[in-house]
Amino acid sequence: MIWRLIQFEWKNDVRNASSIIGILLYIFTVLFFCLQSFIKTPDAMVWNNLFWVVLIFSAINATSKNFSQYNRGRFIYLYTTVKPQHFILAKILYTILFMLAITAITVFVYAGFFGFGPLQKSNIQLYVLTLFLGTIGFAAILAFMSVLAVRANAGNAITAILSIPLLIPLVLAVTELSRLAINNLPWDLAQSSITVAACVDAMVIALAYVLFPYLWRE
Amino acid sequence: MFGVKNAWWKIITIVFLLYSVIGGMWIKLIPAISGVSKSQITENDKVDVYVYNGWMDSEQGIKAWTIDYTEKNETQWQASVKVINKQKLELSFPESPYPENQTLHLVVETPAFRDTLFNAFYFKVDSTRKSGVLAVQKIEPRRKMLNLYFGFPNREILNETIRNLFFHVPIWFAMMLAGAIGMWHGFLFLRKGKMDDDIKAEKYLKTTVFMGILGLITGSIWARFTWGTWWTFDVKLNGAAITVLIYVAYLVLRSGVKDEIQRAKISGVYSIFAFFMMLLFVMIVPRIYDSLHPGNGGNSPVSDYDFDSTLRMVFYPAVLAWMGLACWISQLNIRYQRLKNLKEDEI
Repeated sequence: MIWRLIQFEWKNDVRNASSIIGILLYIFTVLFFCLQSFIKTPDAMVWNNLFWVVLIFSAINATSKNFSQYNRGRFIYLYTTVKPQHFILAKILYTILFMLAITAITVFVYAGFFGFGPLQKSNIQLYVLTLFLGTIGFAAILAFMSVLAVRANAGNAITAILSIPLLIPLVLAVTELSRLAINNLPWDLAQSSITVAACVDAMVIALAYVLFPYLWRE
Repeated sequence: MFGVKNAWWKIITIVFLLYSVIGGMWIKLIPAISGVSKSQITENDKVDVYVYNGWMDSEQGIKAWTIDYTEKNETQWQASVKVINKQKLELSFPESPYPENQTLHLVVETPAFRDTLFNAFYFKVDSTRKSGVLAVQKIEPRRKMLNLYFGFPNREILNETIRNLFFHVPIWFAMMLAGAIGMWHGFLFLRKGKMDDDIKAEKYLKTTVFMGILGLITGSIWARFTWGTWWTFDVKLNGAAITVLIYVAYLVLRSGVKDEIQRAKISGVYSIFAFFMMLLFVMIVPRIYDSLHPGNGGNSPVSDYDFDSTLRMVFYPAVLAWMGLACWISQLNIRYQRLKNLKEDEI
């Protein structure tokens, strides 16, 4: 059932190709703008932090379009056919997959513009793990908050207001983790930040799973 | 009493709040050496010693000596004492009994108290002039106290700001309590669907925001006078600020939704979400990372050393008082909102 719902989401997105193209355009524009504003290649820390800033805003942008095609009729149809837990899990999983793709694209475009410089001597496994943890967290938080915003009929601005405070600790943890990865420091230094990022990810998904059924009924 | 139902806890709140404010401000700190005047002096020179809250009238019974760092050697270097004023002593040290370089503690004893300033001096034998040099060095200052006064502990760095313990900490406790009650009413609304629970949840969470802002302000003031800065990027500070932001987001969310039932449902869900996130950011994350706060990241919890019975005596009533105050503020708001709703219904 969850897999069906994910396919359903994917078909929806493909049908509105403009939204996907819009996000890609957004990433390219922002990165091009960053490229223009730096005269020389930024050092490793600026490289890292800029990357996360770009990623967060493309994530917010990507998920704000999440429910744009959901009207009342579609909700009623889904309400009669699927369980709310399946729906939210599918939504979160789809957002995670979608965001992973966005992250991959962002990494490569970013590296194309600014070079792989800081990653050359890095702990690449830790860096990839960080990307996964960060992306999963962003996707889960933003997916759940955009569901809330849609149920509130309150527009996209409310998604950002609700989710940015929740994103901050995760952002702090992942910037710390990627700093460790870039400086190729040992794994045991990274343990606490990995724990925090994983805790936030797990907690958001668990709470979304438990609480979503209350939002489902109208 | 006073014709008010269930007033007992409000009376307790008032009594405890007055008690903790008056007691917390009134009770003095116990005397302690607050500083030594000179950083480098030779043998037979004079040093001024400042004793905070000292209240020393005459030389009667006042003694001062140094003991060496290791405390194996019992040699005491007795100084002759002259009282300059109630908070200031002048010590003059005779020929030094110490043959070689030593770090020294300074002990001041009066009939009422004895205080040791650890690592007060570094005594160095000056080989060219054949006389000692006392250099004040403050490595890891700690205190051992013995006193007959009734008062709060007087610790380096904290000093008088220790009184903030009766405001800052209870305010955070009150915030957590208000957040928990708000979440509980949000949960009750989701289970039973009574609008009254929604009013309660909203008002309790408003109090949560209020208490959170108060906690940030008191914490900021405390940080200014102990850590030397209004704000520092400590995990617990980040967590607290984020928590307040989350609850502000809750209020924004409420104001954004027009439909009453939909608003109650969504804000109920968000209040549960916010509470668990608060637990994560304020309780769990600071224990994973290192924090500057007592009890986190290798800092010993307050109760380890100076959380003595005098502090407890004011602290626990203060906690109850602020928790009561948070509930009281919320209840007044709730009753006001109910009356407003009634009035609207009549119209």
